[in-house]
Amino acid sequence: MRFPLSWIREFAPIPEDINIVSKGFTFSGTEVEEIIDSEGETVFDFNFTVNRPDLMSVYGLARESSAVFDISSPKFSPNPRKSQLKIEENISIEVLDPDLCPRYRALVIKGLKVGHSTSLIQKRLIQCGLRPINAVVDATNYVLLEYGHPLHAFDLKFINGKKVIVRRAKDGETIKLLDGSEKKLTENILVIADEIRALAVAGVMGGEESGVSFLSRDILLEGAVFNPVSIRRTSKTLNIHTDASHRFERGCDYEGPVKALDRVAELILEMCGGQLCDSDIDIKAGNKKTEKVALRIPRIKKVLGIDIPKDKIINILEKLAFKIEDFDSENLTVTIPSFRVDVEREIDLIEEIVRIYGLDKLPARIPTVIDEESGRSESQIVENKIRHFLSCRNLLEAISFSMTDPALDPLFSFKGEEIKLSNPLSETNSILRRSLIPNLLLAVKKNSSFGNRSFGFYEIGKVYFKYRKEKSTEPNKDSNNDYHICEKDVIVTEEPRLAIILYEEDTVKSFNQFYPRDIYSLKGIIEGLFESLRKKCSFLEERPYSEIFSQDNFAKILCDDQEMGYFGYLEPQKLRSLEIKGMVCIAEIFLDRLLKRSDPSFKQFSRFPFSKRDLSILVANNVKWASLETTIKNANVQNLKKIELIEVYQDENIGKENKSLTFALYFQSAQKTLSDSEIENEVNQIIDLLKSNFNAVLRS
Amino acid sequence: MYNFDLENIKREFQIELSKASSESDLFELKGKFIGKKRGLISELLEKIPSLSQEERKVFGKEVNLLKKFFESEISKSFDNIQKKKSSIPKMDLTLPGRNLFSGKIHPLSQVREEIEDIFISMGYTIASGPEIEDPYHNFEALNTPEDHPSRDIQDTFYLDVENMLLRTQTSPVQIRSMERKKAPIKLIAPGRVFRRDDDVSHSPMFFQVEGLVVDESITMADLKGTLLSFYRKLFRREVSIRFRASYFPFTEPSAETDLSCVICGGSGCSVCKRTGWLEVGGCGMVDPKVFEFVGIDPEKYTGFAFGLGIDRIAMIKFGIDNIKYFLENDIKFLEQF
Ligand SMILES: [Zn+2]
Repeated sequence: MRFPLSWIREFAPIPEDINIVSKGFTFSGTEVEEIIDSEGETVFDFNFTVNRPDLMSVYGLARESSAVFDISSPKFSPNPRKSQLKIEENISIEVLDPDLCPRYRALVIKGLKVGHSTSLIQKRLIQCGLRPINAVVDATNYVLLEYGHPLHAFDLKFINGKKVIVRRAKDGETIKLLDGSEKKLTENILVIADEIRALAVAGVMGGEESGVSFLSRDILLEGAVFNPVSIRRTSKTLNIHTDASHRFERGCDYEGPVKALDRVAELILEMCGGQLCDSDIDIKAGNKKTEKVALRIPRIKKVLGIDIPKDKIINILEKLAFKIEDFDSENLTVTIPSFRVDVEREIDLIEEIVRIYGLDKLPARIPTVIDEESGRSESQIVENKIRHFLSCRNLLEAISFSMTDPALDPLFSFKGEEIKLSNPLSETNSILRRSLIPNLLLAVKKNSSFGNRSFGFYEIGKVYFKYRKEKSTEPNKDSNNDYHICEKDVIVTEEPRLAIILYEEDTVKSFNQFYPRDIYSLKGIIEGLFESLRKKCSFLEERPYSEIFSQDNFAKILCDDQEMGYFGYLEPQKLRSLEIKGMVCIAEIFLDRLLKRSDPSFKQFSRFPFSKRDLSILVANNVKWASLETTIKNANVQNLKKIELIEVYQDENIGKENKSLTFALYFQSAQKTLSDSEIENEVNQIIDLLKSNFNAVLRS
Repeated sequence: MYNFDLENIKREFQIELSKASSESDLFELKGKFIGKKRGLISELLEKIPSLSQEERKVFGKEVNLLKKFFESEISKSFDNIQKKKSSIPKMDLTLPGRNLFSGKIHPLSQVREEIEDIFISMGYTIASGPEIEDPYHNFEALNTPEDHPSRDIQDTFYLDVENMLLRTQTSPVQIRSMERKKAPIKLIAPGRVFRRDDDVSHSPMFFQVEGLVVDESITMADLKGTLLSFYRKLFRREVSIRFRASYFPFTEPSAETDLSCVICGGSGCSVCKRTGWLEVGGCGMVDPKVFEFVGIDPEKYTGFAFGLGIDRIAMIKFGIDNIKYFLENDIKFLEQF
């Protein structure tokens, strides 16, 4: 909100140096956002906090200045000349809803000639961002800026029955407003009406018909106090935000209508002539009692940690127009001026004192509190471990939006309903993700289009679901998932996940590439990750959740018989339609059961050397390595400690239907060095096993 | 006459020696033929007492010759293998090393971890909480009633689940922690927050850290000292901070924190818009109304709270000029950290 400094100076002798003025306001809580030069005049653009509607005027700023710059307090005492005309003969006023309109004051001026306002008024309106209209409207706006209280002027001849009624609108009642818009009203909206129709939406905007024009002769000037909540709701319902509603919804001075109306009458009489009726009509829903707040001097130190001298405290409060009524050495009773709608408690006064006294005078100390919990939680520690593990495996950590594209999300979701945003910024970000993969896939698309041919990302973050409540979906209170039970039967959960995505365009060969970005690297990363967390994972081939996955390359990840996620290749055909040309393999791991540490436990180990024997066998193509390995392990060969796959080999020479497997067997005893014949025995046992179970042929 | 075919043993030795290709093969061979315990030579020598006097002499001599032959042959083979070993080609230092560690932790995670570590060193708890919140924890308990203009400061994303929204701040974590633990309390709550705002300098999702300390003798001076000490550690240099009075619904008194510009040292640069100061976040003393909402006695306890943007800190610390980079997942950006 903009105000020229020269106008403020009419009320208060603020310092000449504009930097001092700017700093003074800024550090005491009213930021000067911009200093503008307007035809040689300095105009400040203030950023008012929502709790200080009383500052949003020239007079309000002058009043504040007296404390900020320790200068004299401003005076504001308009005194319009009254005539003998009786107001009762011209208008009567009835307030039907005093809750929504605790005060309604009105003046009437008759026989005026509406022209243009003076050049000074016009210049100032423009400097403050308003458009001059006619002398009467300009005068109300001028007083709004000068004194801060919103006013409205009606053309008396359009008030039917010479009666103003302040009432709730009837459901479906309509009004054409000053901005030309036609609005349908509800009974929650307060209107200023005559005997026939609504003339204005109270505190928000006047009606087009009853407004003051160059033709108006007699006018009614309204200065009222409206309920802030009601004004805010009305403004939201009608989607209209005006200078008046902006102030009324923040709360206004109960005494404001008095001086504001007197001042506007004074200005109008000066510019347009006419006769002001002998008195006002002032309807109050009961006298507002003055607020008194007890202030304990020791409490100031308890909150601020600094001793402020008592005379300084009193000086600050008095400069801010608080009245100190009586006091002993430790207690003050402070009367709150009517314009300070934000001050009602002791803590509010403490804030007033310190912001004027100077926050820079606070010393710097360190608290000595001890919080028994202290440090990271188990899940935070494990998440960090995972980050460090994966970033040491050539993967870049990605962070994506929690919102995602409803066209992609279902391809990767296999449980729960999606949560939609009621007010998304765009359709492609209109739901909360149920999988981390879609946004990562978009990152892959972008980076590959920039010419990156081989890379890997991982992301740790939450996914979000909505469930209809049934017994089976009762949230598990021990897991790391956050959940809310909403409405009657809906559960909203957040689950931590880890996703890894590897991209490789064709098969990139690079001298210094650590590992290929393929499914076996991904499997190794997953196995390594579980091992680093001292857990063992296994895999189970499955039909994929959706057709985006390669049907032959998909498996569930298991740990302690619990499903911990899935991994696999995405179907290249589907990737083409997303304009991704390379191969993409992905893994998504459910972190909620993984975010706990466990200690390693020591096992006795043999101090005798390993003996190694290599075996090369020929088996049919469909023999899986894992089943072969398991068969050997399950045979309980006494001294066999480890099997290591060395090579899988396929060639015309050995026949298309065959493959050659080379692997090493490690033998070791806890008691002795094994002899050749002992090892030979066990090797033969294994060979026999492979022959009978897999029709294996020994190659060497 | 003894009937040991020493020639045969020698032949056997030579065949096996020719097959031995590694040091471990040679060790095995050595054990088999000249091992002290089970070697063939030892076995032969054990037979000596069963021979006649003359036989002993001849046999002993022949076995010893054989042993020496074995020893020298095996030693030659060891030499050969070692020679082969040391004849690896000379390295080309200009070739790149195998790329083992080019992965990176996201700059926002790095900064968050560093911030957490600093506060942990001062005894704080790292708290976390849900990202989907109800209006009570996100607004009402933070003294921001629905019909108050202070609600407008934060543009909120609402969800298609009645009465649920995306948290606009991590402050609801403070409320939940106070509800659970009461006082004393000393925590920071880092996390992602959402505001319906998307322009040059705003992202609809960004990262915040909020701190909260509650006890019987917490003052605004403690707040100032804590922030000063934190920023010194974070930027690893001498800095100063200043408070500007401000307004937040959940603190009173409230202040904005300015940090002396860590880029120009206060003399003025483009980052600090020539002011020498960087705006880094809001803070204040916990409003007694907030204590009332969570059931902490506002007469007995006082507390301070502060907030800062992890994105903002990362931008200052790393010299990043656009908040949008953080969530774009561009390799060219991510691999720089
Ligand atoms: Zn600077």
